[in-house]
Amino acid sequence: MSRRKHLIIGAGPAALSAADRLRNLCPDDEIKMVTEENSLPYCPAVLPYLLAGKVQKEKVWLRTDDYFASKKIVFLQGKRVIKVNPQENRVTYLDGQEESYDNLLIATGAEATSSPFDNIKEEILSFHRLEDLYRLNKRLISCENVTILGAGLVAVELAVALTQRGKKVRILGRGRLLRAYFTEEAGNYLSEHMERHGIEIITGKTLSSFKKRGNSYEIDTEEGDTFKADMIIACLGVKPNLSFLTDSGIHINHGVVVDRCLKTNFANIFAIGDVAESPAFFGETFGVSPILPNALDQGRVAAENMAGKVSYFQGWLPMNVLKLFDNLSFSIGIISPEDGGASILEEKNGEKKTIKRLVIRDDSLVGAMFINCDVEPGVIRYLIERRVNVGDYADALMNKPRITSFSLMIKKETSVNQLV
Amino acid sequence: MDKFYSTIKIDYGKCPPHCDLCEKACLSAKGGKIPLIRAYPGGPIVCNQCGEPQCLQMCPTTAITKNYENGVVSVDSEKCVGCGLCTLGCSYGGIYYDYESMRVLKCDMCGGEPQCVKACPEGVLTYIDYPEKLRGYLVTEDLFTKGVGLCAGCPIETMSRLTGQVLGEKVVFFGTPGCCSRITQGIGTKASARGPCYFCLMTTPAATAAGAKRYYKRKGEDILAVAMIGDGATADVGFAALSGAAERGENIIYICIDNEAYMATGIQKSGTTPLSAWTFTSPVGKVRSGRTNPSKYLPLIMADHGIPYVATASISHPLDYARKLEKAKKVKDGLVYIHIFSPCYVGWRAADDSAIEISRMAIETNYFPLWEYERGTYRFTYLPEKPKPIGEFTKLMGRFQHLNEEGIMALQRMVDERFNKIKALTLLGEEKS
Repeated sequence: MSRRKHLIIGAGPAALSAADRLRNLCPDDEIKMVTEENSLPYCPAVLPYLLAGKVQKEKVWLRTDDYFASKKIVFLQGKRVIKVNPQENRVTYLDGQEESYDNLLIATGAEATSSPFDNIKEEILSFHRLEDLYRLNKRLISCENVTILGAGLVAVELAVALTQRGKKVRILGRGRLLRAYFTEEAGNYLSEHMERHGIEIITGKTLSSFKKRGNSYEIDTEEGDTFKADMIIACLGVKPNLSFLTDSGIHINHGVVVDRCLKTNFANIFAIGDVAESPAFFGETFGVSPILPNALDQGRVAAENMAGKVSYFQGWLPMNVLKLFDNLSFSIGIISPEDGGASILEEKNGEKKTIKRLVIRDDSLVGAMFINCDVEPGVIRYLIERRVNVGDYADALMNKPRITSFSLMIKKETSVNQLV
Repeated sequence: MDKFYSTIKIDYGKCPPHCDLCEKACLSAKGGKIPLIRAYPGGPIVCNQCGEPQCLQMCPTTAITKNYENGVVSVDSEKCVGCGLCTLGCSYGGIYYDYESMRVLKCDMCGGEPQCVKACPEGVLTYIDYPEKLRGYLVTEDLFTKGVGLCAGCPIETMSRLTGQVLGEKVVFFGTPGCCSRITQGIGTKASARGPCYFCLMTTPAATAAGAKRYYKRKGEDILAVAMIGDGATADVGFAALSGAAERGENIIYICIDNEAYMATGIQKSGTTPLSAWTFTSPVGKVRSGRTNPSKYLPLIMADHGIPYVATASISHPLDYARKLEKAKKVKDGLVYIHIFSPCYVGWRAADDSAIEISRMAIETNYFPLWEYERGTYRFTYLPEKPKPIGEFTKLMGRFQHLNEEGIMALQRMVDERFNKIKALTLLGEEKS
């Protein structure tokens, strides 16, 4: 087979996972990775910890130049793609240069949703990229009170990090806290816990206007409140970074639409990570899933398909881990099923602030949420992804989640071997 | 193969209830509050030290690394930010969150002396350290490239790589059309061997290797001529050349990789196909069922040539094979014959990941005893403590599935007869000394 050229746009975890796999499968092919950011690759999940000072900047790079050299991967920083021409297999960069490819992998990730106040965009910071962190760090020295707009996972992690830096933090959101991952009750536990640590959480507010007064800001809401802050950070979610694909002919909905092989409507163009709109694990739906484990899986699968093998993505599953209490809190899969046919088991303890919730359909676990419980998230993930039959063990899983989940996992693993 | 790593082997289902000695041993060894091995009903759980660790992939700060020298996956607590993503990545529950230090902890195999294994009274945990010992035998990098044309799960790949790594760089390979050529000769226009290799006819590998060896000797080059040949070319079509080379005392290493039929051409009976086994040319039907007569037992035939060294080997006992190769390397005055048992899941109708299990069972049932013959002395290199009935071996594959009890008894008799013959020969050696 002749030498092919694989061009990867983006350098996030999904892109790196694809590049590694691609290099293993095609030792002779040319692999080029371009990113518009001016830094070595990093994982966005590390930003709150970097802000909190738990790790030094030089320790967060996922790959170094030495690594790229040893793997013969060409890595270019600060190279922004502005146009893709699938008919001619060519991309155009911001600096006017053009580049051809045999296979293109779009892994440009997501960008922060812009704040509702367009006129004073510069005044409101975002927290999505390393550059945002630098800007934030610079301004933080002169700030005491910080208001975070939004109540999602990034907002929560940012609030925790800023509190650790000794700032007075307020979360101002429209919906309830972490509604994408946790049930209302669980969200309340988490809110209470954060409030105990000095974070002010105000939800149910719609922002109406924004004013600058000297060095501080004022935010008015439609409900008639006014909030003051030295700094405002918008964490209003992310949207796929795909403006450069407009008019390219690549099928776009919310993200770049891909099939189970992570292929777009062009046979040699693939998309993975936060930019891709891919099939879900359950049902026939498609969606954008900005979740690290899924992105890594997608990277592997896309690379295998680019190498000429046929490989399928099992579908994305929402999942997340939080550590706000003495024990782990996490949610995975469908925790609030909308259709019938699924049974929900739930057990709460208001005193110890624990919630266990299992969603079971056709004897398989489809979702689980554990707040402040002693359980290993990876093992629960295994039970869902391998569709382990938990029918007879549902109650045991509820009462003794750790032991039961491990036993089911061991049973499944050893039964696979015994098939021989 | 990339590297050999030591590992903690767990026998699931043997754990007695309410025993947590391994956990306690881990706590006292590590001085922590969280045991890094957990006793669960069904069996203990400890980090697998995976080849492609998911915890490592998930880590946003590269705090988790795999040491490719000893295989251990470890956490750098300086880099760990305590995000807990790795616990979501590990499906096997091998990495734990410590809420006291806000870091993750995992098993590091106690630097090669796992305390949990020492504490286990039931033998559920065993520390398999022969990979470490095996590494002592390896003198060179892998002589074959990655990606060979063999079926996935075929033991020939591992055995060939091991052969090259133990014998060293001064090896010239000889092969014939057959399964082994998929690694020694490569496939299509792509070669897999990094060193020289020669492709012979099926009838002549021993003669070709002998001639080439003489040529190199004349040029003053001390090379090892290694023929890696299948059982068909060894026992049937190429036997005359092999027997002749042995008798002339040619200094070559002849390795027969025995998958007990002509597999590369599509499963036809060969001289080493065992009694009553199914192949396409020894079919199972109304008139007859599988091979009707016993197979040739080549290692004994070769030993009877009076050559310096003969041995049998199997993928389930790589250390044993490495020792035998080391002896083979030192022989300079005659032919060395090594017979490797090589299960073929395609032709034997077995599971594609069963090669090692089948090999081990072949040895535990005395179907394929491990022995060596060294200048007149026969010696077992491994003896099963309590030999298992041959039914344990035959049930692992489909080629014997037509056998009734009578058929199994006949096979058992054949196995016993062969084993007793070798045993008698080993006793002969004892009397002499």
